[in-house]
Amino acid sequence: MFETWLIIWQTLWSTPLYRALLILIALELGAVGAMIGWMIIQSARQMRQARAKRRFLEALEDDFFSALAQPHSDELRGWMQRAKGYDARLVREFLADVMLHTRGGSYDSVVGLYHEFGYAQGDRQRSHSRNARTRLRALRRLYVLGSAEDRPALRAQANAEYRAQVLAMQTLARVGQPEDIVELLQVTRLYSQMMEEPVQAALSQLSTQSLGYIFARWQQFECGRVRRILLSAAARQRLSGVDEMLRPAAQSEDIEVRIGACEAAGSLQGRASLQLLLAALEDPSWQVRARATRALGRRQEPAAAAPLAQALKDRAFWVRQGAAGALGMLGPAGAEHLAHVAAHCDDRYAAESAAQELQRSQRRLERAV
Amino acid sequence: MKPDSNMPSSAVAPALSSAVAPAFPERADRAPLAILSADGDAIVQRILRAVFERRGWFVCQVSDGREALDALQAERFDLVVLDLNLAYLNGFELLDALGKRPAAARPRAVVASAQTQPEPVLRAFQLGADDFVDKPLVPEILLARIERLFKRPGM
Amino acid sequence: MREWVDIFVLCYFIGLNAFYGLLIIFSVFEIARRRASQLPELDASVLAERSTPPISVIAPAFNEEQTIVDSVRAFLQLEYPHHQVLVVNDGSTDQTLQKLVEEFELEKIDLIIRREIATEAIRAIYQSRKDARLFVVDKENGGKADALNVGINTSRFPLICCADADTIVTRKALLRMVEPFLYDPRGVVAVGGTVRLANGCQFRHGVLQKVAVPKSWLARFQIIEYLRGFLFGRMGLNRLGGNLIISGAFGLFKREAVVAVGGYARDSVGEDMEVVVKLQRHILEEKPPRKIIHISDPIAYTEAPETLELLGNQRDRWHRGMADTMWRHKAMLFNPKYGRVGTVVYPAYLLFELFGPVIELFGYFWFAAGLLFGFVDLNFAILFLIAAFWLGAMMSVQALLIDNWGFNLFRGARARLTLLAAAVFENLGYRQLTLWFRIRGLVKYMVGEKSWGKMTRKGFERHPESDEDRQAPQAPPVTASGGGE
Repeated sequence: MFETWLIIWQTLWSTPLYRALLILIALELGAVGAMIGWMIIQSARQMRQARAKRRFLEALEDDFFSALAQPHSDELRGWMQRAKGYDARLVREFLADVMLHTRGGSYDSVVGLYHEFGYAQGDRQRSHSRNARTRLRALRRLYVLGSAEDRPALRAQANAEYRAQVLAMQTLARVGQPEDIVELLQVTRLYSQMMEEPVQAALSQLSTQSLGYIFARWQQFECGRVRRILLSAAARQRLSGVDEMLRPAAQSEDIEVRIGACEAAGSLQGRASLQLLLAALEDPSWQVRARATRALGRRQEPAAAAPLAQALKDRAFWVRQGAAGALGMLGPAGAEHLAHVAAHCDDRYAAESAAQELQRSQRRLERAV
Repeated sequence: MKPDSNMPSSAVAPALSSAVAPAFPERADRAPLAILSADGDAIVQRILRAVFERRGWFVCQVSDGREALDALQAERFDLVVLDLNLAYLNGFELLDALGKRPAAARPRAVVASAQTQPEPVLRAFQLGADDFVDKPLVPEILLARIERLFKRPGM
Repeated sequence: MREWVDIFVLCYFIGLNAFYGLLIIFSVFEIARRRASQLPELDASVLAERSTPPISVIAPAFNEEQTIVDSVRAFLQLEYPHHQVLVVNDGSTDQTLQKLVEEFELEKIDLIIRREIATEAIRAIYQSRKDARLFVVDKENGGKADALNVGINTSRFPLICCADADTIVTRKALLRMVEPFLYDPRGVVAVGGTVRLANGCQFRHGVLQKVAVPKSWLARFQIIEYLRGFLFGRMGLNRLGGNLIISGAFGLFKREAVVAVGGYARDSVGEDMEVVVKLQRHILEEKPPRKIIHISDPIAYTEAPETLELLGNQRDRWHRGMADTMWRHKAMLFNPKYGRVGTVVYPAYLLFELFGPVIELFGYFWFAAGLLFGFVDLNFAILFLIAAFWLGAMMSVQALLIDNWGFNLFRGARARLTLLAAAVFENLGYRQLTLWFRIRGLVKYMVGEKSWGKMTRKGFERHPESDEDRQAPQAPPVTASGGGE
């Protein structure tokens, strides 16, 4: 038996072509075998970890939740002491998972203890790691359990990749000072509207004062979208300085900033901003015109009815839709214009938009009754 | 190169070892308040259970809208704490169903949701919710609001 | 002469397994990276913010009266702050529309639709009074691609999600799939997720309760096949250059990009692959190119066919779709303008996926003929057995192990051992069976080419798919409508 194999082997080896193929196959087998071996080791490791985790949860989970329900006693501290006997990774992950869902007195206690027992320091160190996964995991934990102590480590994320910046910015919105946010916003580059959500989320958590601080440094941000977001947020909160910013913003070369000026004007009152919006209805870019129509809708100014009726004949679809919606919000004056356009206008698109808006307002009224 | 073994959103690999409390546990007749808690998230349920049980209240926990309706048929509850994002029957529909019950048998309803935009909040109140709390939950505030709803001495 | 054929066959198998092996290695890195890129902690803020991009879920429906109400309800319950469901009734001949009208209190509305993509006529548009997020578009029959295009025309949201009405979608699917759009600075145009098999799993109200190994061996083999070809193939291709397909069961796209490439191709059999290849061409023509990404999370579950006939039809259709798509976009082959997708991925697909079955089958016949007629070269025989079967089995086992490591869904020794057995035996019969189905599809495509032309000129009303797809109502739940995975 063995001799047969030996002969086969020798024959295979002797032919150079088959030798090459044999080597290739052997290499592949070796590579796959090594990977399989590695996977088996990883799976075993994982099972060990799962067992450790189960032990940890069985021992400590219930006590944690009952300690959580009593925010001002020493139960939590006692729990943390006991948890020291377990793998720090398990404790960190458990705490981050649970504290994501709660705030209040118990949350503050846990955060304090998290820092006191050194877990936060470990996360801070890991946030400087070269390995992106370690970094992000640490930042995610800091997002849940970070405190003002972690500000320097979070500010340092301005040099890291985009996700790290996003996490750091959101965390700092909760625990940091406005100058931290400024530092991160300076390096933020938003390339599409979809990417704006994290910035909006961070800014919406800030107090009016902090927002004012950041807004005052408007010039420091290069990204047009960031400026736009700031401008509209500032206008919504009626911060001082918005009015002065509006005029130069409306004439900016950056289309995003012009859009921001329209959005901001939509939240303000007064003649100046109304003039700005009416002028924006003539802007060469349709995005600006569309935004202007929507802003006018929010303001519900009867003086805008006629220009909006003109905008119904705009070439761009979104401008027409915005104009129709805005007229729909103007009540009877707007409805009159809409009806007029729907009935008499020879521009078919304008007539259609007007008719559709009339129908929509009708349905809204019906539903409200 | 290990993946996260606890992903809170996974239904199959929960972060906690214990499941939510069994559907219809024995109710101690002396419990001052009977609460039905409807939320799909295991951790939130666990927190609520700990907070309510610490107060000595009776808690029954369900994870979706249809189970909530079944529980309401089976037992009488004083209060329903619900999330808006329930499976099968969402929070709004549950509120609607609650509103259709006669006033005597209608439990109070407190909505706990992460959706803090005006529209969902308004809609919840229009459908008859008694209160609305934000998520992440602040247990002290939730308790205070519940107590205000049931202003009775000796609780 | 005989020797050259031997060498050729051996080289093919070695190359095939090397390619799979490479993909599997890449997929390990990619799965780890995707895991790290998820930020579930930020879900609450995504849910609460007004600036989260809204999504239109487009669900084409044709004669699905049994399941349509449940599917629509499941889509409405997806966790997302701002989404709408656009059901496109593709001229159903049964009670599909009526059931929807009753259940959701639909009323007719006027909505201005911009016909950015040419489609069949729309009969009416309805909105639900019960849930203002639900819209139903009733149109003349035109096939799945046409229905999707109508949905795209109707939608005004920046993101569209093209879904099959009969897949079970996890509730946080949209939250997970929107993450690359929010957090990836390179710009993302489309996101696909992992579709896993629902066979053997228990669901309650559309939420996965328990994962278990199905009883049917055919389903078990398909699990392994899905793991090797679909999960790891796609994740590996993320790294290698780019994917040529996103599952038609659930994919998230940027609306303006899909409109820019002309929407779904009406006359294509594999429209889901075709649209992704078009998108790849489109984005690779910009510098720097944007991305099409796959995430590793399971976001949808679909029922795999458990009878040979249905399986055959499914694989047949997928292969025809692939052949059609690759022929249309043959300009990408070896074209450096399209980067690694053109120079590496496309040729690999062509060789290993499209024509692979032919070469493989030839190899088996060659081997069998050699044994039968006694001219087999012993060296060749041994190497062939190793390369074709042993290596293949090891690849499958490796895929299974990685799935176990990465997702750990199948618990218990028994389940794992059953799947291990399936992995080993998949190469001894099942794989050869699918080869046959795929070749059948390829032959059908090549022959059908001529008659296809005739049908287009006649301006056919019914999309030829629709008759074939929808089997008799007694057939088990999902007949995997239109397009491959």
